[in-house]
Amino acid sequence: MSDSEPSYLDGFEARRETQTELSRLERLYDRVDQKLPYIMIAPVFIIVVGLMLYPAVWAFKLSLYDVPISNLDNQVFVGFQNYVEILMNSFFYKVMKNSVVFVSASVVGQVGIGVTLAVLLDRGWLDDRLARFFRATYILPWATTAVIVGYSWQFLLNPRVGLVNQFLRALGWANPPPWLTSVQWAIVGLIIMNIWRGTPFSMIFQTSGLQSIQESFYEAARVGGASRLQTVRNVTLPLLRPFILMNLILVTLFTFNVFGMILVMTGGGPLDATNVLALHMYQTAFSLGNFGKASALAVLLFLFNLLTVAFYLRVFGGVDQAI
Amino acid sequence: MVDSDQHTDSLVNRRRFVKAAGVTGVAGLLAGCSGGDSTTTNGGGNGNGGNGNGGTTTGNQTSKTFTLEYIDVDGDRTKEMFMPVIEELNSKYDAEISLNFREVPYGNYKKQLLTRVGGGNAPDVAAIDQIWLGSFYNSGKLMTFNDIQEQINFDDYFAGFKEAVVQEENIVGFPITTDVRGMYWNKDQFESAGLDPNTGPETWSEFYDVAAQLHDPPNRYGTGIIVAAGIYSVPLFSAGGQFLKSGGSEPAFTSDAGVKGAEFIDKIYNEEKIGPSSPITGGGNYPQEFLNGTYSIAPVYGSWMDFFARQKGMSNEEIKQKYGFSISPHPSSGSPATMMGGFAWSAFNTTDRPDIVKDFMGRISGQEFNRKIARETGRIPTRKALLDASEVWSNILWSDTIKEMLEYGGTRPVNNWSAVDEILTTSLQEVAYDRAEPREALQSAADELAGEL
Amino acid sequence: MSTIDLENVTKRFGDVTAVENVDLTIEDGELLVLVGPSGCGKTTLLRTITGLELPTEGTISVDGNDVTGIPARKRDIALVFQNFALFPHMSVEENMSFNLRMQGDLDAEEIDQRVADIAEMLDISELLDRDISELSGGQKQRVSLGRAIVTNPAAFMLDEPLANLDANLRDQMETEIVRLQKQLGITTVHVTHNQSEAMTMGDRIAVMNDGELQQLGPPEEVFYEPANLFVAKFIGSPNMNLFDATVDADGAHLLEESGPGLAVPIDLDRSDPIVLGCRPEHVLVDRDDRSGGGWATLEIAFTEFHGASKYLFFDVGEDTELIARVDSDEPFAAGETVSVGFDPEQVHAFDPATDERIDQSARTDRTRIAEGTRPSDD
Repeated sequence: MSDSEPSYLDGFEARRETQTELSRLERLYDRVDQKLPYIMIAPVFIIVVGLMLYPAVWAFKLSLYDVPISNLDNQVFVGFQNYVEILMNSFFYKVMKNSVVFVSASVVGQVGIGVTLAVLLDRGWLDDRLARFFRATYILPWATTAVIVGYSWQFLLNPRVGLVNQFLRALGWANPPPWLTSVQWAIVGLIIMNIWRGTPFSMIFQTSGLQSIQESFYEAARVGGASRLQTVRNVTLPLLRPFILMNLILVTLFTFNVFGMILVMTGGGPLDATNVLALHMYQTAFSLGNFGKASALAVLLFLFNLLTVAFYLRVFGGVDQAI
Repeated sequence: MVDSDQHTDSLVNRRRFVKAAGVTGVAGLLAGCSGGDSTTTNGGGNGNGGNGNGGTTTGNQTSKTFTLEYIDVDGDRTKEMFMPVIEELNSKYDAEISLNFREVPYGNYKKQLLTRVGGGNAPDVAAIDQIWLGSFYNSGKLMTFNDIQEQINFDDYFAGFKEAVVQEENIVGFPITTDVRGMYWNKDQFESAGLDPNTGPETWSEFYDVAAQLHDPPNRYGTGIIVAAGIYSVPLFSAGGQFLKSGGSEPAFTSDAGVKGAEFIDKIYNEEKIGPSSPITGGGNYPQEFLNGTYSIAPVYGSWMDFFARQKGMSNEEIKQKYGFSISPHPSSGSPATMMGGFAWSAFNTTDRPDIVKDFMGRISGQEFNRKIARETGRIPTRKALLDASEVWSNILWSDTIKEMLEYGGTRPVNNWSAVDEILTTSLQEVAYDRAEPREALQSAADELAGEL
Repeated sequence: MSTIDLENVTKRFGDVTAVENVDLTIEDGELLVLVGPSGCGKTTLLRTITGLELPTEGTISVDGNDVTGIPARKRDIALVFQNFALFPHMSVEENMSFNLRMQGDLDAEEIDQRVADIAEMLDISELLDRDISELSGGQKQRVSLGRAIVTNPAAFMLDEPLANLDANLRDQMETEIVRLQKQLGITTVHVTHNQSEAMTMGDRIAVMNDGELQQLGPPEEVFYEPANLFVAKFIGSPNMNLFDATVDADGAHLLEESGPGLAVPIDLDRSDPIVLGCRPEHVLVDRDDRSGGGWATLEIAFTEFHGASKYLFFDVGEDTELIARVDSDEPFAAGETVSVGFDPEQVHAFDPATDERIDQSARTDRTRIAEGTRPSDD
C-alpha cells in the first residue's frame, strides 16, 4: 500500500508537465472555448445587422431626402419635410384607418380561429391520424405564395361567377355583395382572404404552445372534476397566454406589412378603400416614384410596429410574458 | 469611349446598384415580412444581372462582345423582327453583337423599368409608353437623337407623336406604332336581342338605350367602362373638352365639356344602371371579360383588344365575326372622337456602346423598319409616308373604320400625365361610385392638380 | 369512507402490458402503499383507479359500485401528482379552490370556508395569496395535498408525491401525510418506488413487479416474510444477501464457489438446492476465530459508515459480495479477518425454480428481532 503512494504522485507530476508543454495549443483552445458563444452568434448577428439594421438606418436617412426613383443618386436633403407632408395629408389618415381595420379584424380572426383549431386538433378528441391530416391540410393556405392566394381569391370573390357568391346565392342570398369592387365590401373580402391565409400560422403556433403544456395539468383538471370546456377556459387558455401574446405580436406585424395580396386583388381600390400603409408605401415608391417619402412611410410603419408590440406587452404585462 | 472611363463607370454603377438594392431591401423587408409577400416588383434590378454588359467592361481592351438588352412590353413585337438589324450591325462593327430581348407585362412595366434606371442598371433600349417619357426623361439618362433626326426623317411622324417624344427640344425617342380607342360590341348578343349586329350605337342616348336592352345582370351587363383618366379622354374629347389648357400647366377638365364627359361614366353606373353593380376600377381583366361576353358593349377600349382575342386562340376572321368595332359613341351635341397613344423606342445613355445603340435606334426607326413592324404586328403606323401603304393596312383589323377614326384623334398631355392620371382617376371613381357629383369631383381634382403642376 | 375493489384489472398499451390481472381490495380508511421499481405498473394501476386510464380488462368498484366506465371527473377520487401539477397561472387559493369551483356544488362562500379550513389544517393559511412560483417544494406539496382533499373525496391517490422533495423534507412529509390520512380517515393509495418510504407509511404494502402484484401485506410481513425472491431483494436496505445452497438433514450448505461456504442449521424437508437469503443486519460477525460449520473466515474488503450502523463488505466468490450491518461503534476495519455466520432464525429460503418462498417447518418467533435485539449483540 505504501509503495503505491509515490507512484501515484509521480503520475500527477507527469501530467502537470505535459500540460505546460501543450500550453500554447491548450490556451488557444481555451480562448476559442471562452469566445465560443460569440463565435456561434456572429453569423446571425452579421446577417441581422447587414440585412436589417443597415437598411433600416439607410431608410431613415433616405426619408430625410427627396429621392426620385428615376435617379436614386439625385438626392436633395429636405429634413423632415417628407414626414410633414405625409402627416398633413388627409389621405394618410384614410390609409391608417384602413390599416387599423384590416389589421385588427385579421388578427382577431386569425388568432381566434387558430387557437380554436389548435385546441380542437390537439386534445385527442379526434382520431390522431385524422388530426394530423387536418393539420397538414390547414397549413396549405399559409404555404401558398401570396400572389397566388391573391389571384385565387380574386376569382373566388368575383361577384358574378365567383365561388363565394355562387354559394351565397345557393343559400338564398339573392344579391350577395360585389366584394372587391365595392367600396364597403372590398376590405371585408380582403379580411376574409387574409384570415383564411394566416390562420394556419396561428394554428401551428398554438399547437406548439399546447404541446408545451404538461399533460398533468389536464389530468389535474380532469380528476378535479372540470369538464372539457371548463378545462379549456381555466387551464388551456391561461397557459397558452404567452403563446397567444407572441402570436398576436407576430400576426399584427405580418398583417401590417401585407401588401402583395392586396396589390394583386384590389390594388388598394376601389377608391382607396383597401389602401393600407404597406401598399401606400409601395405605391409611393414605385408608382409615384418618390423614394424619400416612401422611406418616411417605411419609418412610420416601423414605428407603428414598435408601438403595437409595446401595446401588447403592456396589456399582457411585460416582456417576460412573451417567454 | 475611353476604356478607363468605362471602368470607373462600372464602379459607379455597382455602387448605385448596391444603394438601390438597399432601398428595395428596406421596402421588401418592411413590406415583405409576412412570409413570401415579395411580389411582382422586380425592384433594384434584382435578377437583371445577366444583361451581358458586364462582359464588356472586364479587362482594359476594346470590347469584343456586346449584348444589346432590349425591353419591350408583353405584346406583338418579337425578337425575330429585330434580328436582321442585329445582323447588319454585326457585319458593320468589329464586335460580336447579340440581342437580349425581354418582355415585361404592361402592369409592371413602368415600375420595373424606372427602378432599374434609377438604380443605375438601365437596359440599352426600351419601348416606352409615350405617356411615361416625361418620368424617364427626369432621370437624365435618356439618350438624345437630335443628331440623327435627318437620317430617320423625323418630320415624317404625325405632329402629335412628334410632340410626345420631344422633351425640352431634345428628341428622346421615336414613335413605333399607334393605337386608337373605340367601341367594341358582342355581335351574338346584339343578334339575340334583336339588334343589328353590324351597327353600333352612334350617340350617347342610343348607346344608353341599346345597353339597357342588353342588360341582364348578373349573367350579362349591357356595358362596362373602366373608370380611369385615359378612358375618360374619349367622352371628354367628344364633348369638346381637353385635359389641360394650352401650355399644359392648368387643368381644363372642369369645363362644361369635362363635366359632360364625366356624366357619361356617371350615367352608366348610377343613373341608367346599365353596367356591373360596382364600377370597374382596374383594367386587368377587362378585355378578357368583354371577350367572354360579360359586357355586351365596351364603349371605350384600345385597339389592342385583338391581341387578347388572339391570345384566346381566335383568328382575325373569327374576331371580326364575333365582335363589332367602331368609333365610340358621342353626345348628340358633340362630335365623334378617339384618343391615340402608343409606344416609342428610347435608349439610355448609360450603355457601354452608345455608338452601336444609336445606330440600332436609327435603323429600327427608319421608314422601312417602321413599315415592317406595322405590317407584322398589324398596328397603325405613325409616319405619314406609311399611312396609305396598303401592305400595312391589310393586316390591321377593321382598317377602314380605323382609317376614318384617325382624323378624330387626340392625344393626352404627355409631360404631366402621371399626375393628371393619378388625381383625375380617383375623382372619376368617386363619380362612378356615386360618392360625388361630376362637377364637384372634377373641381376637387383640378384643385389638387393645380398644386402639383 | 370507501372501499375500493380491483378485480382482475389488466391494462395494456398496444403490445405492452403495464398491469396484469391485479386483484386488490383497498380497505376503508387504510393507507395502502403501492411500491415497486420504475416501470412496474404501479402508477398505471393508480391512474386506472383514478379513471385517467381505462382498464383493458377487469372491474373497479368503489363501495361495491362498479365505476370502471365512469370518467375521472365523476369518480370523486382525488389525485396528487408527482410534479404537484399546480396551475402556475393561479394563486394558492385559486389552486386549492379549483376542484370545488369546477364541480360547482358549493357557493363561493362555502368554497372560501373549506379552503380556509384545509389551509389551516395544512398550516399554509398565510400562503393563500401567493403565486405558485413563490412556493418552496414542501409548500407546493402541501398546496397540492390541499387541492386534493378540499373536495372531501371518497379516496385519495398519491402518485410519488415525495419524489421531488429533498431527503429531510421527505421524511417530514412522510409523517405528515400519514398523520393527515389518519386524521381524515380517508382511504388512500400511495405510490412510491422507495421501499423504506413504503414501510414507513403503509398500513399495508403492495409490492409490484412487471405489472403483477408480488405480495400484499403489512410492512412487517413483507419485510420478514418476503413472498418471493423479488420481494426479498427489493425490500430492505442494503439488499438481502442471497446465495445458492444445498440442503441436507443438517441444514443448508452454502456453496463455496459462489458464497461464503458456511452451513446454516435450518430445518427444511427438501433435497433440492435452494437460494438462501439473510439480511445484512442478521449476518453475525465475530472477531474471534470461530471454527465450526456455521462460520466462515473472511477478510473485510471495505466498510461504509452509515451513522448509527456500519456496513461491512466481504468478497466471496467471483463478483459476489456479502454485506453485514453492524453498529457503527463496533471497531471493524478494512483488511481485518473476522468470522462470519448467519443467524439461523433469520434466514429465508427460496425455490430457485419458482423464486417462491419455502417455509421452514420450525420457525422462531420473529418478535425478538422486531423488539430491537440485534443479532450482532451476542
